[in-house]
Amino acid sequence: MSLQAELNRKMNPANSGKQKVNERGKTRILHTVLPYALVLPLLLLIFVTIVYPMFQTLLQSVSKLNRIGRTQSVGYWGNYKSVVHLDGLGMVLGQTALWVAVTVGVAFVLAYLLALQLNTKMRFHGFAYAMVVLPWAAPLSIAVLCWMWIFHGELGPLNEILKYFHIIGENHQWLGTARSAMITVLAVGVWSNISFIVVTLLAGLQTISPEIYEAASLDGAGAVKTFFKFTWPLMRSVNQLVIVLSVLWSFNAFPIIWILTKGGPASHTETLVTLIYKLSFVKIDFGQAAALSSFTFLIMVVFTVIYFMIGREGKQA
Amino acid sequence: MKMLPLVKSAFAVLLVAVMITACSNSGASPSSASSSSSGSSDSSSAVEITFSVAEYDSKMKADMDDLIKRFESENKNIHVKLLMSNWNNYHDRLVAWVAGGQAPDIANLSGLWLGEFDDMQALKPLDGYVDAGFLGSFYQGPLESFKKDGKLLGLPYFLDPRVLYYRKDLFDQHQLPPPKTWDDIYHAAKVLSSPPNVYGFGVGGKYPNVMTGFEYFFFNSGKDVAPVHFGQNHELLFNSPQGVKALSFLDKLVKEKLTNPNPTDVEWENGVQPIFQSGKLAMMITGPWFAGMLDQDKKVQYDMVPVPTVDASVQSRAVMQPDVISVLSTDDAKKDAIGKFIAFMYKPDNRLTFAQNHGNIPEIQAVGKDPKWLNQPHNQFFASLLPTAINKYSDTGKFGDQMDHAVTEEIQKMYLNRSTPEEVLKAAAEKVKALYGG
Repeated sequence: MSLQAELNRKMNPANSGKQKVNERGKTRILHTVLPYALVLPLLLLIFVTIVYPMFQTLLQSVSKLNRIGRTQSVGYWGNYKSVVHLDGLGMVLGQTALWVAVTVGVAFVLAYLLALQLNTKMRFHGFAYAMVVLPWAAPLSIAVLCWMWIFHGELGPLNEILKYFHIIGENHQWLGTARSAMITVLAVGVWSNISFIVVTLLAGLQTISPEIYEAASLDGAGAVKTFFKFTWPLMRSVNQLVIVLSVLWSFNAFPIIWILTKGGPASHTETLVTLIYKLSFVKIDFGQAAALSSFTFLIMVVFTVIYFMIGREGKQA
Repeated sequence: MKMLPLVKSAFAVLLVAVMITACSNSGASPSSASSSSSGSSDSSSAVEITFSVAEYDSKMKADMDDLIKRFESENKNIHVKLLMSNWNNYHDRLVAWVAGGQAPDIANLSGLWLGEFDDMQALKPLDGYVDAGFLGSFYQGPLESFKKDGKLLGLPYFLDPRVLYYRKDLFDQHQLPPPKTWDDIYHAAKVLSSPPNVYGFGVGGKYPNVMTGFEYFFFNSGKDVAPVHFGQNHELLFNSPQGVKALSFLDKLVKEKLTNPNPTDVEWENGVQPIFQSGKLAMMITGPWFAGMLDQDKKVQYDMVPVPTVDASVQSRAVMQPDVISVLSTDDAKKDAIGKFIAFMYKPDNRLTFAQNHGNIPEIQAVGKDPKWLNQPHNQFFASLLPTAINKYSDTGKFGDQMDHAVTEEIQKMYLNRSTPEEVLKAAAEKVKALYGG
């Protein structure tokens, strides 16, 4: 309490109680309002850049729009009906599922192996860590352009290297056939996902006390048993976060597929996000694009909810 | 922690405000958005106009900056803001700008997009910005082809008749005559193909220009083939015996491995051109700019002939894909400034410089006949093709870009051995029919 307040209290004992109540009230207001005031700018930014466009998209999905995107009427379900009847939608859904499953699943496994290795005392640890993080540091579009030239059927270095080591006899058209193009874009997708997963898993692994591993080692547990009995359960929340984020980002991964193949050849690498782009900028049907975007959003929400529910049940078990 | 009622209310108000703003956005109009970005409405005070152009090559920015600088020095009250975009995403940027009410005042467009942007009500007739004397200076054929319902929607920005480039050294070595017919192409490709060192003929099956690659042959598949896509009943003309013949020829070249392998991996121009430049191709079809690139490279010996025809009785017709300059401005106060800039841009001296710097064929008659242009290597050859050249954008209409994508996808299935040429053209015709609602 300040000197002035102390003097006031002694000179006006009747008021000291009121003062205490006022001061407590001000402090309570400050403690209540301050956190909101501090996050308000960020919340405003999120509203403007994420929530507002989301509402706008949802609204457009149920609106009849003219070709320039202006609303002519609201309460129109034709966009959803036409999306459901889009040619090749089944193939696109299947390819999207494949893309997400492989770029997340394979990247997760490889990243775990890398993270476990980086969590040990190894030679050239710093260099190895830098190599793992490097794909994350490079702007994705530029990196994918480089990959496009690496995979060029006639002029790309990959073919030359593989021919030099007699792994292939003639140039392979990596992006030229349906199967090869899909494998190639998946490989680049896995490559682009690994860095984030390694860094996040490594951070989680480093919070596990080494004594746990020492104890396991003393009990005769091997590497595999140690991983499944100790590491995996202790990393549950990190695994969950990494998988959910990776799935959501993979769903929305646009630059890799667009730069490499634009969804071709003949739509064999088309995913939901490239199809949404084509509906917007090739077909210029913003209503359909909004409907498909909303549908994609719904899939991601359902996945996230189910995943966390399963995770919670596992934790309780 | 309990939220105070005041704080709760503030957040509720913010949320409702956001939603109301979202629901009321249908009232916004392009004119209000573009007016807000314009200069003063008084013609005597400074006016800013935006000019959007595609980056054709590395010299484009410098050329445009120089053009604008000279224009502004003669027109002190007009400022031109240049917006330059890469071709890969230029169409999508324009769509986003137009949809967002931020369309540039003047834009360089692909001729293919003219119908689409007109359907979006984004284009203004040019007749209100330039006079009849100015319009009379153009080659009239291409100019007329950009009119719709009597309104001129785009001024040709250049002409680009496609030709067949071939390796003169390889042809001379094997005593092959320059190709004039499809049989000549096939025979030469069979003789010269020696994969992986040399491929006979360059084919691109990756968007863009896949449909154009087919059209090079379709429009030269017979004397009675009309230089348009749609017939009188709006039927797609290339779904015909001549169309099947043309596509089958391309398919034959690919299946007999006389082309670069797996064409779906390679774009017709940006992908096939480097293969020719590297010396691995004996023949390819592309535009006049390629001659300048090869002359600069000095890596391959080449020559050019008109695009070969189905047989010697058919006269070759070069296919062109001219781009245009269009006006998108909705601000009447800028009309005078826009008209002045267009007139300046199309001054013969400026068009001569543009043609020389970018390897294009002038759209202005005076420049096309100017000895300074005509006497440069190859230009007389290109100029000789103009009287019979076809503007492939003349009737593509409001779904031109989508038609291109739809046809491309079907042709890709043929290159992937999933469809025959007949099936491709039938499926393409059905997709195009659904597009145009015919």
